[in-house]
Amino acid sequence: MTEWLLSTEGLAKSYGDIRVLSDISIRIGYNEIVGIAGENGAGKSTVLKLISGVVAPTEGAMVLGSAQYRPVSYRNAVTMGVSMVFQEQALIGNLRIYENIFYGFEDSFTRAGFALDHRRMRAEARERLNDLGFSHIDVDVLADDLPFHDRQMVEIARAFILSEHSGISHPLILLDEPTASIGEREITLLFDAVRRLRDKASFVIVTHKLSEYMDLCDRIYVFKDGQLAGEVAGPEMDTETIHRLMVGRIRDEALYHENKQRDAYGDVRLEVSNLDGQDVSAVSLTVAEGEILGIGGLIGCGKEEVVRAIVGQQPFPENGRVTLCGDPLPIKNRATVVKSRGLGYVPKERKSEGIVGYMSVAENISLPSLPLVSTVRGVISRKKESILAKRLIERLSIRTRGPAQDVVYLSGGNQQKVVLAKWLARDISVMVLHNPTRGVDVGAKSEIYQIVRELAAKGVAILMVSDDLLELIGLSNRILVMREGRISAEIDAQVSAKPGERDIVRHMT
Amino acid sequence: MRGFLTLFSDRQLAILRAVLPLLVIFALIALFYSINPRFLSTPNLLNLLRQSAVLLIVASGLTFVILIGSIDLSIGAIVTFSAIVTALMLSTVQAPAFVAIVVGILAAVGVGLVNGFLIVKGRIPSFVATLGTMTVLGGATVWLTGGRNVLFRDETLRWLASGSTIGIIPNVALWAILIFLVLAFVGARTHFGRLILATGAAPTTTMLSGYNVVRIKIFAFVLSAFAAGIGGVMMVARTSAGTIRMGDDLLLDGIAAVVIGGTALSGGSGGVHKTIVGVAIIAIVKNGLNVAQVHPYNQTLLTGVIVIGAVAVTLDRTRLAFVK
Repeated sequence: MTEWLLSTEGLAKSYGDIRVLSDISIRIGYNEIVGIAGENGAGKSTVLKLISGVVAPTEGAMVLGSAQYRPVSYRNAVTMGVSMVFQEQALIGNLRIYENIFYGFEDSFTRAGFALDHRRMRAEARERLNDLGFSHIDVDVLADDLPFHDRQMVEIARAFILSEHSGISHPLILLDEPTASIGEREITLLFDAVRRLRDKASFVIVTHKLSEYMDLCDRIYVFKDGQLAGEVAGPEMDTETIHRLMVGRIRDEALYHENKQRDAYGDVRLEVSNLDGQDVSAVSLTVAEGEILGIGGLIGCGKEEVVRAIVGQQPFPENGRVTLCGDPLPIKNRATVVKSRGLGYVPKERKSEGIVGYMSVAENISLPSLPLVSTVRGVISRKKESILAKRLIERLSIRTRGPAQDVVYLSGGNQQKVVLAKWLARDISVMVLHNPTRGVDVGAKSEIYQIVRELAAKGVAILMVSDDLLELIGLSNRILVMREGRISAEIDAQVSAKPGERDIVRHMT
Repeated sequence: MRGFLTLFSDRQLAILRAVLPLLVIFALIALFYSINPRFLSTPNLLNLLRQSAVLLIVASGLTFVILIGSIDLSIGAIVTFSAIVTALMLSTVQAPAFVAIVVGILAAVGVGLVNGFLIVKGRIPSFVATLGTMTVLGGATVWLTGGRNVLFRDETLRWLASGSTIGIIPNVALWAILIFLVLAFVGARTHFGRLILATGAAPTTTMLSGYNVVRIKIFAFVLSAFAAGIGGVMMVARTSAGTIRMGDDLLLDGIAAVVIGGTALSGGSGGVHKTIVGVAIIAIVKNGLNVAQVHPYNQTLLTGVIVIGAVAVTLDRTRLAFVK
């Protein structure tokens, strides 16, 4: 037996030209609980997917126990003793718990060569759940009828049961953000279970809520931008150290065109007051003409709900008031009304919310502004449409074969420019940007920031919600940090006095 | 097939895709002509026009619903319904022709509105909702007629369908072409047509671009029912008798025509202008097999084979993420 249960050597993962993970060498010991921390998009989830065989690494190797470990699929990983409890739970809602536990492994419960021996399957599930200390879970209920945290327990139990089933005595269990959607009490229950089971298994827990894990984990690996930024263990494991490792990138002032940042603004254009509802409470904010207001926070902090309420994307919190250019917005048809009042929106999910893939660049750009490309009411003029598209292709330097090319064939950055072009074709007074440079290369990023600065210079009020801290700091005049549905801090970000990443991260957890 | 396609460049492929359906039509014409030269005789060609006119009207309207990724299974029943309503207005109510036609079409539009609201507001999948309205309408027509044929005699209606304005071409074919042209224009050139395509391809993008997607969808169902209503009036005008099953064939033929034309059932890809190709293929096959004196049983079998073959040729699968 070697010292380590799992060790990885130089793991890397690229999707096309985009490198999401590089040179990851980590070790997981027997009976150890290891944390992986990092910002959104640092590569935490990707590394779990590599270990659990969900995706294959582009480079690097792994050793499990004493043998080379190259899982070809998740099922393959499970039979070798590596299981994952996914962020989006993987239990099947309309199957019973015992059926879920052995889902995909029914072949060892056959009777008379073909029939499924439900009784034996049920009995084994019951017995093993009891052994693992989950005697409170009823094996006969449907997964849908079990509360979220109990389903999580079932998934953990499933990891044990299946690895044992495959003859593995010491499984490795990967937990992807297990506390993201459960309350305090359930977190305690979960952690108790993990502690109780550690003498039979090793755990890897991915999270960005650090404080919770300090006392649970033996060691924490910190990821940053797809690389290993450091490893902390024992006494040096404190929030301060980890935050320092998580952030600490150098901000390129030129990239964000900080010299063009305004320091005086006009009247308030967008006002949100006392927004309240699912996942947000008492959120109020204002954005003035020419101002760029940034909102930061972890996934699930409520920043997305604020955007939804402003642009009218269902479901959105309905209590509270959103005022655009002086007039409050109605609940019904909000998405239609905001457009007519001069709001532009660059959504988070470019492919499903920003573009129509199999429509041309010209057709995408004109989509919100069909009257602008019509000569007769209600009838599109192809010529006008093409002229408008050419104008914006040039203005935003969109790299495309021409206005008639379908948008799917453009790179991410150029697709994003098309989304911006949709709104630049109109006269807008407020722009809402949701992760405007996600999946965009550095060159296009700089161009997009340039466009944002130009909009602000022209007096457009800009609200930008972003998971990229540097972007938030570099671009914003003012930053709101959200935590658990509330605004936890308001930080000034004038050119002369930009806050550091730690000043912001501090308010996120 | 894929290996074969890689022999061509993108541009050549695009041209090939545009031309291929026409080649299929010519091949079919050549085939049936070689079997029986009577296929291209004037009486048979006029017959072909008469047979395909109603299908063209109904399938053009249905294309809008399929473009948004939904389905309208009630079109056949709507054809029957509006035909019966028109016939009853003429025979029982003794209303003037104009009134009978308007009431017949309005009845269809009403059904379309119900479909739209059931699907969009009631959030019932279109397959189930329109299957329901289809069944309800089937019952309603039997109830209205007592199961009997509704006969009438009306010069205006006879002229509308069987008279001719340009040479010997029956008016019903002219109406069909006119309605097809209008709907194809709506689909290809108007704001509504663009929004239908966008809604089918990317509903969230369309909504976030500031449109009321609910209204667009309801309108698609209304348009489909409207076309089916006109189809029903035309059909009953041609036969001067409303019967309770007269529209049945149009459901499957209509869906097949739209799909053969190259509109994807998943929505977001295709167009009304393409549907005419599908209508032509179906009409030629049905008529041709008849002229070729193929046994009726084998006709059905061969029609099925040809539908599958035609879809394989016309559907632009590069635009479909997956084929379901």
